[in-house]
Amino acid sequence: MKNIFTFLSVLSTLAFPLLATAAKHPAFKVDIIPLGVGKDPQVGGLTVLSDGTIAAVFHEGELRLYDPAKKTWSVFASGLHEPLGIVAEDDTTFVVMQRPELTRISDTDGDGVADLYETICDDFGMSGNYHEFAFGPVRDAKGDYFVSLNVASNGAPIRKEIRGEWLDLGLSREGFNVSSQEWKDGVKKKAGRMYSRVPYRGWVVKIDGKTGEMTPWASGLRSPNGLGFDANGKLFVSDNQGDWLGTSKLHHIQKGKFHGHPASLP
Amino acid sequence: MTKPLFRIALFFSILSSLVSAQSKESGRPITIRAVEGLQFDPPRVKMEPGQTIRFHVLNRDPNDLVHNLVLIKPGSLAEIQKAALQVDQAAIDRNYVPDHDAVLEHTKLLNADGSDTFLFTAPKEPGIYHYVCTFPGHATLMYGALYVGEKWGSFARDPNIPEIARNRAKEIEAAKEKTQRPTVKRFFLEKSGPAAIAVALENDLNYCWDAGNCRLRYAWSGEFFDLGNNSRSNGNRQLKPKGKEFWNGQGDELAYTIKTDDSSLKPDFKGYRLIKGQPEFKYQFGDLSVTEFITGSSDALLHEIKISNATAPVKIYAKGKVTSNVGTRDGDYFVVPVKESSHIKLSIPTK
Repeated sequence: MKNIFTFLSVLSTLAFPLLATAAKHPAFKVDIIPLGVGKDPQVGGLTVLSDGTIAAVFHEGELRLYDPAKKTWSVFASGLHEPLGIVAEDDTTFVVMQRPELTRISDTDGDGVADLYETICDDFGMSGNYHEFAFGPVRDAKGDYFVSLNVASNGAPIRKEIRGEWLDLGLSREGFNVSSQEWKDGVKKKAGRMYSRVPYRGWVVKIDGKTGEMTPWASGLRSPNGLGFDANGKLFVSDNQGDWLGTSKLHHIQKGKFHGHPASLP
Repeated sequence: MTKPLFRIALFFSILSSLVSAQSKESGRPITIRAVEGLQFDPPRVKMEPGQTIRFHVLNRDPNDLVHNLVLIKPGSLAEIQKAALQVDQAAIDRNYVPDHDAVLEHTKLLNADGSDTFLFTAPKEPGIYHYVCTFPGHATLMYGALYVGEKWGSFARDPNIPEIARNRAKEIEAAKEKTQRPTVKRFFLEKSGPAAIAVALENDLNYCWDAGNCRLRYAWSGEFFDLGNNSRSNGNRQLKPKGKEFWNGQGDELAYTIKTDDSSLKPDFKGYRLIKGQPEFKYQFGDLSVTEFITGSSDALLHEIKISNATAPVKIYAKGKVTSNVGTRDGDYFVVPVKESSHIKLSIPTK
């Protein structure tokens, strides 16, 4: 019987392995950077500047800079709509993907705060559905940008006013205009679990870094929330599981390819 | 015991031990972190009487200080704080947990990034318990309140949490109440397209400019928005302007600032420049390059429109009591001659 108890005590230790926090990794140091009182810690994108300054965009719409020597934060830009990614073109010019557009944000008068918010591209659709997040950007060797556009979710309908051409396939645009109770009670099923009814939802698109011209690049994505290039310049995008695909996956994105989620098909 | 029987017994004892460990808990676990400045985060938590909840305690103090968490009976905080001052060999042997009847549960001493866990069953009678760090020197500042079946009031005025936590709550409240002016915000707004921009100006004037169709949608006086816990949402929330609306272009969703005979023409938004914190919007409308800059005075919104490359008179949307420095009124529009289209000043009265 003694063996049983030994085994049980070992097992009960193993039963809650998630309670243990990860041990410090010998290969890197973890610094905790306080954000300041009342600041929401939801970070949408991070990058590091030439002098070690950290630039971060936050869910509540700010681009803040952290000086690691002085340990202070400053607000560089604000009023952004759900920024989820940032690329620094130089130490005072940033390209940020907001929900409605890819924007170049710069400090032209040198006072340390942005004064110019140039829309590089807003040529994709928005139905007003909350799930149409916009991810990226990543910049290729030529200076062009790639961003990915989430599909809408039937967790909510579309809004009365939309941006971009409505795709008349499936539940009619008027059909979305019901009470939230009617929506929950069944109309949502007619919309499709995830839906793409305005241009390029469920796509990766390429945006010319100079002219802002948008080129639809690859389709068949659901919630393509991570973009990156490998050492050879190949674009990889991670995507959420769900619907017809049982697991989260990593796609090698190639021009003109379809990556498996049907909502983006025209 | 024969081997197969042994295995079956083993299987069931494992199963029952797992099931009983699971079924004891009657609520979601509570996580409490030791954080910078000798504080617990959160500084107060809630349980129902009779409920059994697992407490996870994590040491997240960036200054590598050692902490523990000792759960104590209602009304015993001062005594335990005093007892924690007693540092002798006996206290060290007890890992600084006071030898006191009021101690109900405690974690081990937690080094930086350390964690511990315990189950606690709240008594049937309501009461306000405390959790406190009894590592030498910490107890007077580092504690929190466990409300069992008791209602709690405003964070900023809760006498059961440390003053530091109350002051932080006050700072957060003060920051939320005050809208800095001018300010630009982008989120989903009522009565606008999805690419909306909200601007708060001085004199308590506010407006919504729609970057989708590049025009002023409505304006209001008074407070800006009730932002509330907007930042905690998934982005779905559509904000409703506060205050009193004094102008809107409702019913004209498809109208643009400039009216042309070519209905296929759409404005192409180019972004904005901040001038003393106020945005000057820029867009291309066919051959026309346009900027719009909106400022406030004590009794009107001044809407300046600058058009380059006009080759024919332009029609400017100006529904309602809007006045213009140039052009002649034609229904909801002002018709402005080419030479005056480079600087149009519309005035929208607030009353």
